[in-house]
Amino acid sequence: MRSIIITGGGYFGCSIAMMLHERGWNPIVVEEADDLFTQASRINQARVHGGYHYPRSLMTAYRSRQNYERFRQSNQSAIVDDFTKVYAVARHFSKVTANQFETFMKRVGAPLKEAPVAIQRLFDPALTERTWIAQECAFDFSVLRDTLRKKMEAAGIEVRLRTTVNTASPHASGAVAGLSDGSEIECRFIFNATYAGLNRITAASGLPPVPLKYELAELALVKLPAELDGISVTMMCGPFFSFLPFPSLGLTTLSHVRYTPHAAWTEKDFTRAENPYETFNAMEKQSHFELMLADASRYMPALRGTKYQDSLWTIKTILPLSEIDDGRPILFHRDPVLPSVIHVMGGKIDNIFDVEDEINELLKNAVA
Amino acid sequence: MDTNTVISIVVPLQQDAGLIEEVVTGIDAVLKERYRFFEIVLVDDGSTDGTADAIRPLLKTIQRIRYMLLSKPFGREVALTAGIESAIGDFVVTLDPRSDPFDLIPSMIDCCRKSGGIVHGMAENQLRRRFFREWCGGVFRNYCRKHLGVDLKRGVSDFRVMSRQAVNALLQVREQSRYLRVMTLSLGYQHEFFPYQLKNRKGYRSPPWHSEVVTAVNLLVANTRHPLRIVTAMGVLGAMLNLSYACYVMVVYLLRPTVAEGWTTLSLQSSGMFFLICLILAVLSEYVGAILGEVRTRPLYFIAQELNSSVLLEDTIRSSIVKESVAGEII
Repeated sequence: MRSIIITGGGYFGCSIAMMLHERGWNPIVVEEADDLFTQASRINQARVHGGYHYPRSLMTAYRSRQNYERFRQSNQSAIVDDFTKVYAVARHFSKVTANQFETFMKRVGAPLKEAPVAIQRLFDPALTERTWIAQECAFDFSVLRDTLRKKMEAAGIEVRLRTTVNTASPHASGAVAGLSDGSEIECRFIFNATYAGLNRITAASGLPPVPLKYELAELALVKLPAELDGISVTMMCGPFFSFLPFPSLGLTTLSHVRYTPHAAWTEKDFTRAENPYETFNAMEKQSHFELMLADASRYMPALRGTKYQDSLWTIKTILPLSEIDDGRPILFHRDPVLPSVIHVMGGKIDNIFDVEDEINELLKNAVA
Repeated sequence: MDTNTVISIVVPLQQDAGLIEEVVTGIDAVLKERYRFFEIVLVDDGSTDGTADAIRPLLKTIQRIRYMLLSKPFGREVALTAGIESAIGDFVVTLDPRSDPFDLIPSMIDCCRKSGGIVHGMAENQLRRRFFREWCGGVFRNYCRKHLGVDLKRGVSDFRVMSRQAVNALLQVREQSRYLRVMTLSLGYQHEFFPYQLKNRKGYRSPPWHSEVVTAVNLLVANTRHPLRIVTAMGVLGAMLNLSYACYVMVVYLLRPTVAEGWTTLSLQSSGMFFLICLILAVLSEYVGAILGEVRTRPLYFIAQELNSSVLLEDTIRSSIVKESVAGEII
């Protein structure tokens, strides 16, 4: 039995499928939507994190920088970096000072260069302590998806679209996956890579739930005024804003730590197969763009000319554990009742390499 | 409904746990009517009466509250500054939760939108103090008008609407002595005065005598060199008197070889000079204190905590189920 079911055809699901294929297993990707990469892999900030985001957690920042270089190398066609990446530290309310930020990034190995005067002039000096040019990039999810799809086709990996894995039950060889089309597949493992949907399977299969918190998040899609063309800014480190190109639409996403999350919820009844995406669809979505812009344009008056185009709405899934510290760990959780089911959930696309070690460990002891 | 303007209401709190619910729901009710985007910034000046606990349930029912707790009491003016600094609005409103009426906020904002500057609330029914205090206040306001170029009208309070432009200018001023009533007036811009009636909510009290004197002294020391000029003039005068007295002594010494008793003049001279010197020292020390305050570039305040509204999901879900198939009242 060399079959492994992967539920969820996002970046994590597809990448895991490739990893398993390379190790001689037979992965089958099951995806609910009409296409791959429709939820978290598409609707996000498109940032490849260069370590700058975690100026208070040395370990996370360091890992993030390492993964950054690797992600860049292995996905060159999807990388977009023809823009100026500006990082700034706010003068008030910031959790780090400019000196702290600089020293920390030096230790992590994330390069920072003092911003030229033309850039500095874009910021209100009363509110901004210092600005730098950083080395970071964005990715185009559509290129990432197409490349990965081609690789999977070449490898002959089966993808079942418009299908879900409803249940997972124990079996002598590992587990049986009950699919929405009525079929049942025996397999060695089931990888649950459904991001916000992790607990749909646990609830339907009587497995213990994975505690998760969901957040209704909004990224505003905007057109920047001409003088900010080709610039991306991240204001550190606290309730501030950032804007970054969104390559697949040719627009820019504007997000704000305070206004991007609209509401947060956790599952109240674990016995019901609750679908966070249904909750998400029922929620009222009124853009916070005005609030984001009102705050951001205090720091950068030039932003006033920003034109609102649309909003990207998504569910952000958060591990309750990462609310305590600053880290952004990946969940790689073997189900305690049915150990052939593995729940995988990562908050960031560029963290995928950390999953590889876990998979090696898992397969080392697995008997087919 | 105004969907293009963001309004920030800055409310300084100082031991106001009992008042907070009334204030927040009151502001929310007024603003919800008119504005799509607003925020209520509560700045807690280090209260120890459980204000934070009183606010926690409100964060779950009312949208867009931001609560900041300063690490210790820094005073009303610094609390206001902290709030103004973090306010994101196109118009920033400050008010005293103990006395200012909320229903006037929209009309004051309209007034501010017209002028583009600052609208000051002017209380018409301010408590009348006792005669001597009123008189002192009058003298002080006159002095300010003449030497600070600032027209402090009677009854002007912290009930104020500032345009973003005025707020940005205010934030450039990093002086330690922050008496916002004067600071906002000295910024320039268009000033409007908006008469209103004070409401005496629970806990309203007029500031004590000694704190008003302290404020007045701080204000003068921080804003004008006029008293120092008087001291300089007195110093010069004293020096001249001293000089002429010395000449007089010399002349007497030369013309009258037998001067025995000079005790009266001597003691007069020394006591007079010491009086002047003491006076000069007193005023100088005030200024040295002010200079010291300016030289120390420590932050005005530190934030200990920031909480945000997190309204429960149920309230934001809009059910797709309707009870009636047609719009209109049921008869």
